[in-house]
Amino acid sequence: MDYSLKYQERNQGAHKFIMWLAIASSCMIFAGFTSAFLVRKGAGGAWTGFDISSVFSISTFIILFSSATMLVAHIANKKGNLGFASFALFLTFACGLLFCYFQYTGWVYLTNQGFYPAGNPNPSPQFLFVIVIIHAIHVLSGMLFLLIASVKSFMLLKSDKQLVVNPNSNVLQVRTDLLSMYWHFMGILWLYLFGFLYFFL
Amino acid sequence: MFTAVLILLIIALLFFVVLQISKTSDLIDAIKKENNKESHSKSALYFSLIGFGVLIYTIISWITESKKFLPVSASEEGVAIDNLMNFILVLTGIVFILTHILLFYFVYKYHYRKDRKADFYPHNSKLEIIWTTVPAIVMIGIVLFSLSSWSKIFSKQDEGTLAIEVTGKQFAWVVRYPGKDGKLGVRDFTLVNSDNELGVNWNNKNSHDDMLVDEIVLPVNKPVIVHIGALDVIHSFYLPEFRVMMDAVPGVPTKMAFKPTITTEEMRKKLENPDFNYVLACNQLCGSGHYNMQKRVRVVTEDEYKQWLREQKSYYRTVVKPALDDKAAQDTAVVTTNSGNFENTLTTGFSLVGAITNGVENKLIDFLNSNQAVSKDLWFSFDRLLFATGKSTLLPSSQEQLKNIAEILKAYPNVEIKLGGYTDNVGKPEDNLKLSTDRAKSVLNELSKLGVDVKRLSSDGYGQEHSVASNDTDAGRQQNRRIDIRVTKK
Amino acid sequence: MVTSAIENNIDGQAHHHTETFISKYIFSLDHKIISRQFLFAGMAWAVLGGLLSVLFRTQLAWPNETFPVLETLFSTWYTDGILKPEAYNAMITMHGTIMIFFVLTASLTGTFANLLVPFQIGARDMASPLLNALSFWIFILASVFMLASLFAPDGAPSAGWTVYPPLSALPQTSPGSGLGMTLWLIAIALFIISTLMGGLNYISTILNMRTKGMTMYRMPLSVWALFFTAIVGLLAFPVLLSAAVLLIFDRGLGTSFFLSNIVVGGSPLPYSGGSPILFQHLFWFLGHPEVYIIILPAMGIVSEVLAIHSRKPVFGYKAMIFSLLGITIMSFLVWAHHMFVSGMNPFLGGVFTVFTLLIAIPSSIKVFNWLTTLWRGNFHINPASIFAVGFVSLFISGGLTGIWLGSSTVDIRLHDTYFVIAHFHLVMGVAAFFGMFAGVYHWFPRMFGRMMNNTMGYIHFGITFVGAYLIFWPMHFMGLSGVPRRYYHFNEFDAFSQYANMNVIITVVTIIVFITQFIFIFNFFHSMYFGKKAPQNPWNATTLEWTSPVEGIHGNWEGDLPVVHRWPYDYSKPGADEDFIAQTTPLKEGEIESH
Repeated sequence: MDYSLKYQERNQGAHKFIMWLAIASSCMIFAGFTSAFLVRKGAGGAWTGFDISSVFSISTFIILFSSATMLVAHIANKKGNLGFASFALFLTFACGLLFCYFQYTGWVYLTNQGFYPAGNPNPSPQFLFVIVIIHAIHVLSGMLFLLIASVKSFMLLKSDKQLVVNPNSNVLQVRTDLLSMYWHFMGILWLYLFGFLYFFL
Repeated sequence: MFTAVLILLIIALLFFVVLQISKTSDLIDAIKKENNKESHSKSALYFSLIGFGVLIYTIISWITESKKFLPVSASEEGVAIDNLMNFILVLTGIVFILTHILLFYFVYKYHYRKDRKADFYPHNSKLEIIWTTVPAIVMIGIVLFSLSSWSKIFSKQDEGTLAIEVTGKQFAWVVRYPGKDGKLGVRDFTLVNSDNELGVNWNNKNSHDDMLVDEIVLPVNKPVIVHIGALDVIHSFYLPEFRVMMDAVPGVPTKMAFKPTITTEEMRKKLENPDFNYVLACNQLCGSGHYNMQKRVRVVTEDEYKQWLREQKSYYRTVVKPALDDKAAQDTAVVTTNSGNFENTLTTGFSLVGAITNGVENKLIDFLNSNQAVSKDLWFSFDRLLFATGKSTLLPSSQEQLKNIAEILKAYPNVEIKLGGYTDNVGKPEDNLKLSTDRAKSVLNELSKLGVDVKRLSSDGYGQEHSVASNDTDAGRQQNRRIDIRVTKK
Repeated sequence: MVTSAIENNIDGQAHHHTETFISKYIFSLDHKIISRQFLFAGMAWAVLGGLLSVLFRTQLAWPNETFPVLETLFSTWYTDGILKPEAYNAMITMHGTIMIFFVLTASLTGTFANLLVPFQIGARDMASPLLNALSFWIFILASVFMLASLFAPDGAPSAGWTVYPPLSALPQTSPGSGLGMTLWLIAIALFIISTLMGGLNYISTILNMRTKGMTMYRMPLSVWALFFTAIVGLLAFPVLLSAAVLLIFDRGLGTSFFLSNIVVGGSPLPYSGGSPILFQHLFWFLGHPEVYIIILPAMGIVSEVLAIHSRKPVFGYKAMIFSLLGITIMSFLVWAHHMFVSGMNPFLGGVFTVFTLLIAIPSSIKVFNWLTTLWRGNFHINPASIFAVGFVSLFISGGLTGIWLGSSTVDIRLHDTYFVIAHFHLVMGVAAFFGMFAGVYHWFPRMFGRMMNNTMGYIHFGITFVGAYLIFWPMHFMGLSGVPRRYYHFNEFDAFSQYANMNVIITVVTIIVFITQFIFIFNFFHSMYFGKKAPQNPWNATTLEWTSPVEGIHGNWEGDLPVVHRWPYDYSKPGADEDFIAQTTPLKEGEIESH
């Protein structure tokens, strides 16, 4: 590490590193679920598969699109264009809402096809359910922070205050960086889970 | 109550005393300028004495208490376990003693003295390599020893001449012996009811001679394999004297094979304890009764074992069948249509003739129409076949049912079947075997004559094995003399 | 006012801002305060956990006696003065849960990581003080739920701290598996989140916030140990969370992850396809690294304490680091040695025996290095240093019996017997505590600017050390005699009843040792206010925490951060004036940096 960096900049880097570590530990939760899935499937016995692309393809598209809007917000923030950044953050939040909605409709469709999690002699839906639910909880928490960030950006814009309180501080930038890392992780994680379920379910 | 208060007061008093001593002692130390002490020799001495005292205690107590440890292994496999364990005891014991001597000695020898300076010795690669490689070699040695005994124990899993089943439940063990056929009946947990705690499938012939017993009795020097399971929560099948332990898991059948080598009597003599008994205990926390799940285990001579076996009764014959018969009698008294006709016109247009409800045609058609998988244990008995006495010639009255079966087979062209011939136990076993084989062949030939492709048919004779009723009664013997049909391909 | 590190640490200068009592002591973001908060919480939990052990040991020593006093105090657990069997199971369950998670994980790591990491690497505070405070307060929330589970109306969780389903999943099999177990699961989920938050902070701080000159190979071993501990926790705890989630689903939603073919009280239940063994795999994937999460910080503390009080460098600094790394990696490869007789594929038994026995190697390297650190040292005797030596003894004793249990073959005989109880108590239940005690006695002057009373410390050590051996050593014998663990009493089996007298002795010693801990607690709180005032560097140590003002200031150093020029173990270096050289002292002309 470069010791000449000001303490504060090192600290901002430290926050980003924390986000990377948090992403790693979140991966471990899903590693636990996916390995339980594979062990159960490998043990034989009743197991009915399902083509997940027929249910969650729209969700996949939406979450990838939301990563794009997040990227837009990130770049806008860097350029100092608060208004646009705030709008893009809100759009990302809206995409999150849409994602959750399509997850819900996907589940309704699955249960109508007899693919329900509990009390089912076929064990595969319960794994699908757990994985999707825990991912959704992660998405919802991300959405909470997205909402806060977009509201705060908007209020800052409206208040005519100086964008930066202190020339050396860049809270907004770090906050958006962290949010953006988390949100892209949500998308990539979903891609991995979708792919895993597509091949193994 | 008074005692409790008194004890608490004494403890509080002791506490107070300790605190006062400590505070005074620190004051004295302050006066004596604790930090400029010449040396810590007194403290070092006390510390080392405590340390060595503890070390001596650990060694002596181990030696004196060792007579309470488990006696010599009562199973063949357990001997290897004990040998490995003793090997590890010696190795770790030596390390334990040496390192502790060094530890407490160093503290004593190298305690602080004002005029001394410590030796600046940050590392020594050679030394570090030695004490990395030596433990590695020792560990690898233990690993190899361990893997070899482990694989021996688990490679014997199917050698058992005796296979018994033990099922754990809250809070007891249910033990099932297989009876003459040496096979345990199939189970299905959805069949559990008050008369059928294990959910045994009574339609499966193997279950008819199974016995539920009060204690586990094993013949000495004969390998036994225990099929272990549980009904409700995880238990563990634990025979301490035999060095046998395996979890009993609901939904995951487990097993453990071993060979008992010392009879209960012999062990009693060895231990000079006429009341000694081997025991089965539960060794996985299973609820409030976990500590009270014992069953007696006895190892006896071959003859004693056979004697004991003769005294055990088949659960099916003593409990289940009478209950079923009673129920059947009640049912027939009330509902006459139970033994009414089974009308069925096959897809080929042929109508069955003279078939009865729950007759072989009924059962066969139901089975072929269902999703049930083909099973080696699912046989249906012909109910209208008659042979000449002691011969394999079919009497003419059998033609009707034979025609029905042949037509059914034509209507389900993919189906393949096997015929089994059975007798009662009257006469010589080898004669019965031949008779049953011939009779089954007869039926096969008839079916073939009636137009069923012989490639779809097979037959076998089982003599007096797989009896479905007790051979002690006329009715039972008549039931045993039968031809069964099984679907081998759907 | 709560402020975050980013906004206030301009140019790395210490920043003063107005604080209320609440922000200074309750919701503090300062690592020094948070460290104390973890310590106090840990002490409270340890007393409760110890009390539970006194109660169930009383049952084991005198199974046929009645205790009306205890029934008055704990009426739901006793009937007619006799402890109920399900209450016994609940006590051992909660004792294990409390001691392992709340005391030895949260409090041990929470106290020492917060106290030592920012100081010893030369940082103003953790990378994210806000996350740090959140980690503590979520731990408190977890504690509230866990305490609630102890008092659940139908019973506290009683399926063992290992909570294997189906026992833990079905209330019909055990009353404590109802509401009590639900609260336990919520508590553990919150606990895991708290621990993960802490770990994230510690790793990021160590990697990103070191001061100038503090390279990785100049960090003290205490920091290295805490670094590896946090990494293990980060990768292992989420898997326990996934096991807990699946168990919650099985309990509440009727799924069958872990349940299949179940008949309770004669009625079949509608679960099929699950496997209880799957739970065990997921649980022990955390469960085993968990015990290393407990022991690694203690090892780091002991390395420091032994070196400082011997006035000698730790022998084999780099070997110590690599053995920590070896333990970290291998701790993920041994989990199924808890499952040798679970019914899993025997082939796996062989695989896990190999790794389990190999993990003994880095542990033994550490023991030899500690012994060599003492050799030819100039060893100061004080409570901190003798607790560190006691740690080494207990770690050797407990660790060696791990070799017995690591062999799958021998485990067939010893699994789930008292031998296992002896093993893990010596190596974790006592050794890790000794590490914690050594750390408290040693760093008390750093925490409170005063010294603890030595005489009380020696009494505390003597009774606890001897007592620990008197309590747990005989349990080896019980295990070798085949006595199973988690038994409410042994009267039903002749084979297991030989130790009635010994059980009485064990219980009496347990009570004495438990009471002795109050001497430590008294010493701790009394010395906080009335202890002898500590000098700036009472142990003449080289590390950075002793260069920060004794009274403790926000931001740790006035003015600039210290700059480091050497490793932390220049004790009794030839050519030096004193028997130690602080890390901040520049190298002399011609002096070579050692290690």
